[in-house]
Amino acid sequence: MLAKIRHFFIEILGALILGLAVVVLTVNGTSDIFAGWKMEWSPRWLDVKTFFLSIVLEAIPFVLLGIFFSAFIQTFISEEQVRRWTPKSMIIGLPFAGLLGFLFPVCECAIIPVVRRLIQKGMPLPVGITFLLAGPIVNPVVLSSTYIAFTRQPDMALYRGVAGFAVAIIVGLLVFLFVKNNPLRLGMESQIRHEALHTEAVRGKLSATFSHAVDEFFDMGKYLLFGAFISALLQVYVSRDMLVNIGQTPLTSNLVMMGMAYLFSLCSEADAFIAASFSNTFQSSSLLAFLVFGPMLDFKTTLMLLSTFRFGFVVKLVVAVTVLVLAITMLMPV
Amino acid sequence: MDQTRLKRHYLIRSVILTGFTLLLTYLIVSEKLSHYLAPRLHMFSYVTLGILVILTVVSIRQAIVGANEYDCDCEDVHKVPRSPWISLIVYGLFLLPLAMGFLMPDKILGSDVAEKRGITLLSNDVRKLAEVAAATESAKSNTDIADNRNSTDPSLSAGDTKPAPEAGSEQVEESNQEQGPSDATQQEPADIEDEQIRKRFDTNGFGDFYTDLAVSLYKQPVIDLHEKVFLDGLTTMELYAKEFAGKEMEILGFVYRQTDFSAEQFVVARFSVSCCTADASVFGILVEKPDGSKWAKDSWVKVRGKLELRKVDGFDMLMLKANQVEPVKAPKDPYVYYSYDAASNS
Repeated sequence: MLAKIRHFFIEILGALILGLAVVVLTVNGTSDIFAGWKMEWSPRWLDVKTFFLSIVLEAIPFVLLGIFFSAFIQTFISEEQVRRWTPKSMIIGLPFAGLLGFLFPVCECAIIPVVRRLIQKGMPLPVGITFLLAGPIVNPVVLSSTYIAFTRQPDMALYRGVAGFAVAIIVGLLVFLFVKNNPLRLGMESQIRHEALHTEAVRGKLSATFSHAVDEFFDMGKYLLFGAFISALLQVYVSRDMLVNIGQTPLTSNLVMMGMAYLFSLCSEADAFIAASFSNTFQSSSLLAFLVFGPMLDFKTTLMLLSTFRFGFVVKLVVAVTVLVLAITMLMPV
Repeated sequence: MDQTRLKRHYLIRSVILTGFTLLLTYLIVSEKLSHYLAPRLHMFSYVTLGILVILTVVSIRQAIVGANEYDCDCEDVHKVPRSPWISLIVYGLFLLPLAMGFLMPDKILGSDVAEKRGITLLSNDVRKLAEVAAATESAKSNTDIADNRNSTDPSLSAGDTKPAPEAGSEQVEESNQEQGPSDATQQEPADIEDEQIRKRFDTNGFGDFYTDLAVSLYKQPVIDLHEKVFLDGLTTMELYAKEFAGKEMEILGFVYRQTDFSAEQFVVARFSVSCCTADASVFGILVEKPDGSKWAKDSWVKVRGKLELRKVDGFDMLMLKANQVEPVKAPKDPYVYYSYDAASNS
């Protein structure tokens, strides 16, 4: 099942690239193709290029940050330390995980490998999931960037933090109550054991850290590039008026913004600026839905989750997060 | 998976990483990075360049030496694509930004994108634009009122009329060179005049930042809306639309038109960028000139004219009645940015 889905995504990906090649070659006049690459590019595609490169250039530093941070945990924090630091009781453990982002300010591209590593090192699953959802929102870097982006609406950062914290805790609680079996993907254990083997073998060796970083750069990079490319296409070809027309009632406009957050796959450290650019067209509650949903789930993180957790678990997680974000942002007095 | 195949993967990866390193170097050296990122993120790119260089070296070393340092039997989990087809697609995805970066010319964002996003005009959003265009009739009476108000205020007519500020403006220019614009307000002879202008802007209670900016803009005989004050300046004029009506202003930007504009109308606009161009939004002011259709869309112009007040839906909105439009070259950094330090003080 899972392999099929992955195949499916990869096939779409390939089709898109081939399609791009075809479009570029046909739209811009095949007669010029031998004229030393000096063909006329259609302005639309030049805009796609601008957006694509821009998002990639912006996100790469943060992805690298996450990669090295996860390598850091892997090398320097022992399982014992994680067990000792994580509270045993869920009443303290879940809020603790919700606020853990203040200690580890990582964005959503970086948090999946980090959480996987923490769960592997003995963190209870509900706590790990709460951290996974809250970490990319409730952290100083993201909240301050939200504050900067919404200079005229400084409350937004507060609402974003509170809503993100609430959704993460409730989902963590649901996981604690209802998920009894191990949701890690088949084969994950062996991979985790494998990685642990590496650390034992090469702990402290800088070159090993860097070669793992190269592996992870390519592993994460493909999701990032794919997400950035789709986002660039949407930015150039989809008019905002069209979206506004769909999102007329509070419910649909929240859903439209959440859908956009899912498709755009923006980094949580920068998405506030994009949300702010929508402030003329959407009401604040929809912007909040965008800001809370995007970091928790988007196109590329769903792919990344599928590489770590079982399919059924990911589906349940997606449903729970979607319903909760919708409910809480509709109820919040923004 | 045998060692040679693994080595081939590392070779491809080395080529890709080298490509990314070269692309980033090229963008930094040619100063084209600002076409993609806001200046405050440039620092991250320099760090990234350093890390990319290290990763490239590591990857090339792997390609030559092979993955011998791993003493385990675990190629599967080293995340190398399994089949040739998947490799082609995955690495193709990495080659796409490189190909685009090196082969496609740079283009700054223009009207096409502006149309998709909607443009923010002084104090009103795009949906009002049509109404503004239609509100030409009522405009005349409005500006008359504004002019009258100006002339009945004795403190302002002194600062407003052409001959008087000659001496004053020179003073300002001198002090600009010596101490920078913010200190200009502290100059002695201008002090009394300042106080009176300040009083005008103080009453609305929009905070010190906008009051200061309003005073410094108002004092210029011709308001120069250069890129440093573009966004904050527009916001200020939006807040004090009534006070600024009748002032002369000079503005630089690209020409943007919508289908519902009349032939003599266009917008002089700039893109503002917060992080990367994905969050760019458009700001501008409506310009009217009888031969306005002469300037092609997306061409860069410098416009000088008089600010006029229009009433749209009960809102006051400024537009620029141009008397001089000259074509200019696009500036090296085409985008404008909010000054966050200043904004956080407000």
